[in-house]
Amino acid sequence: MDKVIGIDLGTTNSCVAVMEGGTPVVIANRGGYKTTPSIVAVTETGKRLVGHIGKRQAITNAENTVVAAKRLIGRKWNSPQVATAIGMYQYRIVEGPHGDVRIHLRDKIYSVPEISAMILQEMKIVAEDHLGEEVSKAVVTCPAYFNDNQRQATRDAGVIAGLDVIRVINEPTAAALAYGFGRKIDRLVAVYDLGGGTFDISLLEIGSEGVFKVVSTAGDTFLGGEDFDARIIDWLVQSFMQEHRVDLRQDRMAMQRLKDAAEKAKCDLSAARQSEINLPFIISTGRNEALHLQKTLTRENLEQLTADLVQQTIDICAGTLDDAGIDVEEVEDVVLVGGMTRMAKVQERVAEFFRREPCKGVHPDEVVALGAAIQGFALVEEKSPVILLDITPHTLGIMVVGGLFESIITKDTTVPTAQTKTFTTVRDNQTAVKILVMQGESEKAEGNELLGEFILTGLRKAPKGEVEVDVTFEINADGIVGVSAKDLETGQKQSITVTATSGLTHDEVRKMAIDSKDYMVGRKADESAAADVQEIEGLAAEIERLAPQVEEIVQGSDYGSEALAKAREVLAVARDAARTGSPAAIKDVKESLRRTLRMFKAVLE
Amino acid sequence: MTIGDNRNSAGSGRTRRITPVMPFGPTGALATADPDVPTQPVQGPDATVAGTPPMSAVAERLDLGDYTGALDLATAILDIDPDHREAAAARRECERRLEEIYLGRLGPTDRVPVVVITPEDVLWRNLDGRTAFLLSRIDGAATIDEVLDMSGLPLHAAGRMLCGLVEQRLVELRVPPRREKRSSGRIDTGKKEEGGR
Repeated sequence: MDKVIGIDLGTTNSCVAVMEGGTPVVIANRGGYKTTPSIVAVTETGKRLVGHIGKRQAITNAENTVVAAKRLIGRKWNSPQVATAIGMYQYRIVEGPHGDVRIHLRDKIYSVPEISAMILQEMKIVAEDHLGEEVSKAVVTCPAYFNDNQRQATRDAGVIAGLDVIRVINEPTAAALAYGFGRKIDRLVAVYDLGGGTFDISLLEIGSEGVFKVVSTAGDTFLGGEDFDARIIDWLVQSFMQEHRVDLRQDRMAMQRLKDAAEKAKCDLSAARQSEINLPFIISTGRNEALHLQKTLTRENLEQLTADLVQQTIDICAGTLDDAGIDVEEVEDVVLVGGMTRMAKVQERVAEFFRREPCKGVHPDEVVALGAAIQGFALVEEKSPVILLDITPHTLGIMVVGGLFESIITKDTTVPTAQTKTFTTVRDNQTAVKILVMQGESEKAEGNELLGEFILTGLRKAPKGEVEVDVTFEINADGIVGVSAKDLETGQKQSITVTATSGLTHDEVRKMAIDSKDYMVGRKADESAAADVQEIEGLAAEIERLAPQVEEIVQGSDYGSEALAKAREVLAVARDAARTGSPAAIKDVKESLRRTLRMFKAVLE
Repeated sequence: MTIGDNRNSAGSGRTRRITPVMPFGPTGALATADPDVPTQPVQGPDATVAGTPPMSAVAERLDLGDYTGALDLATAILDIDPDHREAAAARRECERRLEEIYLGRLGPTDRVPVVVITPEDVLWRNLDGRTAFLLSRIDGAATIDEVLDMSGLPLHAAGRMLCGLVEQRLVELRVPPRREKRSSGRIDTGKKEEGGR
């Protein structure tokens, strides 16, 4: 059976997990970290940096470093979120050929799914390193509010990364899956997810039969840990300005160090009461003098600096419960997700609001990936113990007379579902109706997103209001939306399947997948060559270490002199081979080195 | 024995390449990189803007092997005249030579720089802001190649600073954990045994 990995493709960090022996486990990356920054950069020399390395140069190379690509994935160029992102980030966001969003890095333009694919590819490699086998199937998570286009773009990113994304599931659902894994519980749970870049609150019903249903979800896509870091940075910059009359904001290197230090201090304060921030030689002044930054940040300081941010999350929680018509007393447990929930003040305020201590049984950074792995396993395992009941994140409906929007399937309806409404003609002798399929929450059609359209013809000529047409919306378990319109009198029917578009054509996705594969082939070849060189170095060093002892033993014999001369020759060839990096030369000399080493060892035995 | 000099690290996916050599004429005049572009005559002192070093001074430094000095002079010329082809070519040549020198001194770039003094001791050293920034990128896990990438500085400048940090014994270069290739041909990162298993 193929292994299926679960990937939490986050706005700021990503995480990968897999089921092992019936238990989900998170896989650490090569640095030993269980999460990888969702950051992609291209250096001046065209080299791609993904993850931690990309993050540590994100400010000094801001124009060529993509952060929070998830905020752009599947979005239309003219959407307000894209406009916000353009004002927020220094990398160049440009319009794509299909009204989509593209990113200009150095001399190349990338689609957003391509950027996300680079992160997915990194997570795939992490999993493959751990499992010792190639991985091709994945379950990827996305926010519950993602629309069809955003979900399709996430799937496309998987295809580009060489992954078959067998299911895209909602993040709170994944978190609840991990929370409920192996437990027979029946309760209403709130998932409070404060990540690096976004905040989400979701209410889920977990059934004892393994049924998970999202009841309601809301959030803020521009509120997260980075806002907390920004407050610390502001505080440091202002303190430094007061002390030295030097503005650190003018120096990118100083700002990069501040960002790293602010994040570290924030994390330290989850456990400690205070954190020392020491940044020696943070900036050189015009007088050729270097200045140091030394500050102590206490937990109380941090709480004061960020109190309003925490309050914003609580306000959203209150609004969500109100919208869902659920009393806070009805919530039976609170699951914390996202690194920011380690902050003591966040936990305190959440406990205060929900009037109960949040659950500490799941790891906030890992829980979503773990849930995705559980779902992946359930999808390929025949006797699946888990049934996911997701909801529609947006209201679906059609445009009606007067440019108004008539909802047919309301937001937060559990899928799969089918709903029908009856409409009548609005003009005398009207023989056709145009069905404009839309999604959104605005009462006016123009405020919502057009998903597709079709025309039902052949209606009986009659006074307005006499001919009735049933419009049915159907959403299957995979989230595919089908819309049909039926003339009740004649039985004549027309329908469409709404196809989500990521902003890329099939050909584009295919080409990007090929490019991505080529990149990986090149990368593997480079890494394989580096490993070979390292092996040659090791063998050569061992031969050189043993050479004096061998020389002492074989001294005077013709055979010995000859063997030593040959060994020296092999070492010289090895140096050349390592310098040129020629695979053929490396392969040849590696075998010679091994033979020489065996011979040396035999002499010494 | 140390074999190889300018290999990149496994994680980077590209071999660090040095820009092509710019040929020099016997008199120290620079040939252009593009054969279709005629070589400019060496500009004498009269041809320069007041205060700008002459191209001949750059060529002299190059002849002496003083690439840092030549780079400074070429940069000074380009500050005044950004389109000065000979100065631009000289600057590229100097940068290439300096990259070679410093990367050669550092050795294989898949080695891992490690800071070997305490943060308190760093305060007693005499560092400038850029070198301190480079030092702050060294976390004991990133390779030379990765640290140079993270610095965002020109390769010759970052290489010089890192050499300086090694010479001042603030930093040591350590051999990374052994890479082993797997039969499946997958990427092996050499750190797979650590954590999370």
